[in-house]
Amino acid sequence: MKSFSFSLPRIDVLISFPEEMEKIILPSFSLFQRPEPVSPPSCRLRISRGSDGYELSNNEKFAGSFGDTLAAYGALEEEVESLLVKSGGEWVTFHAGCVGTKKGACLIAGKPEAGKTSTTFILAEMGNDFLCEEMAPVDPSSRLVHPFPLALSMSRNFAQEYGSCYSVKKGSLEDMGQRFSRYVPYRAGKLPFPLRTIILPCYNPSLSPDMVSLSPGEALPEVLECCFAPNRSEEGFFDSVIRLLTGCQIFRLFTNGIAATRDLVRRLT
Amino acid sequence: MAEQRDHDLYYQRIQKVKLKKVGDQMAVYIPSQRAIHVLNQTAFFIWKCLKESVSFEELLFMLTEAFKGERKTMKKDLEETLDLFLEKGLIRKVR
Repeated sequence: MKSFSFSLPRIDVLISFPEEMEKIILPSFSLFQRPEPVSPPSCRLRISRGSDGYELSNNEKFAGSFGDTLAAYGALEEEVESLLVKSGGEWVTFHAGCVGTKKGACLIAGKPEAGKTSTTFILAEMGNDFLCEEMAPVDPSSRLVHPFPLALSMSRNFAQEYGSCYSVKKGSLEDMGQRFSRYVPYRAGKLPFPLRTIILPCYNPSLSPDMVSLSPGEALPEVLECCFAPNRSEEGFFDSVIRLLTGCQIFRLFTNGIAATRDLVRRLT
Repeated sequence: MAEQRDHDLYYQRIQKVKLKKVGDQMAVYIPSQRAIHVLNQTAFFIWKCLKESVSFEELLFMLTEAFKGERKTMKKDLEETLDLFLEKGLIRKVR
């Protein structure tokens, strides 16, 4: 068995797994901060070989069995995400990527397939500080986005298309099989960034590229759909999201491809 | 085609809601539904008019007094807004 530990903003985690999963798991979490040596992990996630594949446990409690390593890894990632939301208290956790720009944190939120990961990847490759993938935890009182620098998983087609036009300079892009690729930036921002900009990507090959400014009211319904379920009363949660939106510039990014996205986001960074 | 409006029908907004300011717009938070709805300027005006029970014709009159525009367009907008309010549970029908 192999193991490593890392820190989420409010919880330390120890992950143990069989050796054959090392190449899948370690790079994905390589950018997370390590906990202080004295702090004992408050959560232990363990993947072990089972009779029909792999089993996942959370603090020794059975959390599921899986037929192959990728399925087990997917469940592990979900368990980590769930830990982040539960430990976040009154924080708002967006289903979003995030980069740090000169102006502050730029959140890339949206529904599945909207283009969050590809936009985050493009922004990171353009030299912005990578902060978050999949989840972006934000403290509404300070407006700070805390790093959750999970490696980026993207479709193999997108990765190949990008590689045919541009060289990948700020991280490593690896084909993982099963039609997906993983991008691990060489570095990630370690400190929280103040939230300044929210991008809502909208990918459609038949669209004319454009970037449209949205008011907080126009963006609120869609942004709420991009938030993980809160740990507290809905009203307090809505108030927090409204407060965050009110202090941001919000843009809908209509893009039809990689070149268009690069051109559009360049104006924001 | 829009349903013919019942002239004996009145509308009134539900009582247990909270208003939230979202930038330059208003949103209505309904605790019982755990939901929030953002209203544009016209929809918020209509919603405010529904504090007491009001008929469709009365609402249309208030709307044409408050906003410039074609009466026919306003009538259609009002019908759509009331239907949406009913669907979202922001108002109820009263006889």
